Amino acid sequence: MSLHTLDALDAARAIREKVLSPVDLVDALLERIERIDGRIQAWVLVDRDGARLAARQAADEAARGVFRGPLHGVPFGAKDIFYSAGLPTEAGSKVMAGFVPDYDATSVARLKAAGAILLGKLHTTEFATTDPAPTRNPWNLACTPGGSSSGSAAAVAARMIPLSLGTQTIGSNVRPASYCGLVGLKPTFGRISTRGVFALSYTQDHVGLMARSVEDIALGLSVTAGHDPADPSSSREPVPDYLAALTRRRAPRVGVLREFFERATPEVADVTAQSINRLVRAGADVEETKLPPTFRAVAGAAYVITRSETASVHAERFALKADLYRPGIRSTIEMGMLIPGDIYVRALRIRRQFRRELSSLLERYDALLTPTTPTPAPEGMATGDASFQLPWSMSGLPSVTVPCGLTTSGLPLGVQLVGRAFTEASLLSAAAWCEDVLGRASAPSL
Amino acid sequence: MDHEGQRAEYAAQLRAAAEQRFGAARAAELARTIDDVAGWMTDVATFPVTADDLPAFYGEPAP
Repeated sequence: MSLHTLDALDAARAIREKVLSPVDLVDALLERIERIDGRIQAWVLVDRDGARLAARQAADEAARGVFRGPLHGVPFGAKDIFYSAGLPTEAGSKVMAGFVPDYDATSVARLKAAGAILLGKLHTTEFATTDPAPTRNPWNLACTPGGSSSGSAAAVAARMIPLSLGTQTIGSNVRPASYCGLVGLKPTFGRISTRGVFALSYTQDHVGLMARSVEDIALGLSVTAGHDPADPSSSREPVPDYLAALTRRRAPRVGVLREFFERATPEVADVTAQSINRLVRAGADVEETKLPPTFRAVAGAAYVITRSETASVHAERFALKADLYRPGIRSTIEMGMLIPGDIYVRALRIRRQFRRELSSLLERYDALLTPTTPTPAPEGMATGDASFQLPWSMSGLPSVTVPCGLTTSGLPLGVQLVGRAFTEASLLSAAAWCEDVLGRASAPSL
Repeated sequence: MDHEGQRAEYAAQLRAAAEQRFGAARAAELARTIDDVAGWMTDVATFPVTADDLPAFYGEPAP
């Protein structure tokens, strides 16, 4: 087996069993990046020297039987809005040119503390909004990988790393994961610290994970989740062993949200319906259900909240450097400046009502199910339709996508599962069961 | 006021505010975005919320 195809858990096991050296693994991935990233453009910066140094240290420690944690010697990448000590972090923007943070984002620091090796920084749309990154979809270079976590998705799909950090404020982690045939998790709001991540919308920003298996997502979440005193939105909910939870996988009780099928292309709706039939045949308890009435105000409320908060985030920088912002983020900030405070607060109240109603609906199910996206990855630069992620970002509830098949043109599709707040253990267990039934995505040919 | 009337009123308010803050030329460039935002504001303003629907979301403990 080529080393670049190893998933995170397999690589970690092989390193622990001393049949794989972190140095060989890092070298194989750097070679892979050298060979194919000119076409994919997932990476803003590859820290070759830093990664090789960390790999040598990891190898030395492993030889002495010292393992920092469950990801000892396993490489990962981070979207370029995650602070990384000593490495440029420019958020895809000329505004931040030359910015080098002096500390790691908490999620980056926790992965490193678990033994993982930061290979470099991955392309993002400007400040994680709409102005696109140059990154292409490994399944079809004419298509977007989605965004804003464009590089995070493309790099994992192209077997340049097994695990990446992304973020989601509206639809920026789960959607690109699905467009690229990956498993992607947006956990509950507050589950993973956002300290050291460029804010887009303080009360809707989520750190997310992308990988090629549910097991790798569970492993990554076990390491990154947990309270962070430096992040006021960080939760004190206990962190279970998400990987251990996968050993208890069983056929879930699923509520299917038919509204989403009506807004998807016929092919997406058909592939998703076939996937549901396979889940039912394997024992899933499936029934159709409906979103609560608040759903009709959710998109408006989400955009009011994000624009208002983005304007606040950028107020000082924008006053000095408005001309350096690209058109999408610039108009987002300008409009956010004009939204009245009473409308913003009312949107926050609608959000809370929606979350309460959704939580009530979810008491009847292990998960809600939708197609992950209304279309496969579109051609061109625009990063696609985030509307199938928006309700879960808005409500702060956890959602995960698992691959469910390919279109006739060979692009990946996924099914999205949504769970109750802080039930990632059971949500990932349901996702792993679905993954067993539906199969994992193959690799794109590059 | 009906939904469309409310949306038109918000759009007019936003256009005036954009002209004052960013100038007439930039406000004209933002015309389509202004219409989108006016629609979202209307969706929010016309959706019923109760007195019990508080905006709290953060779980930060008291210092």
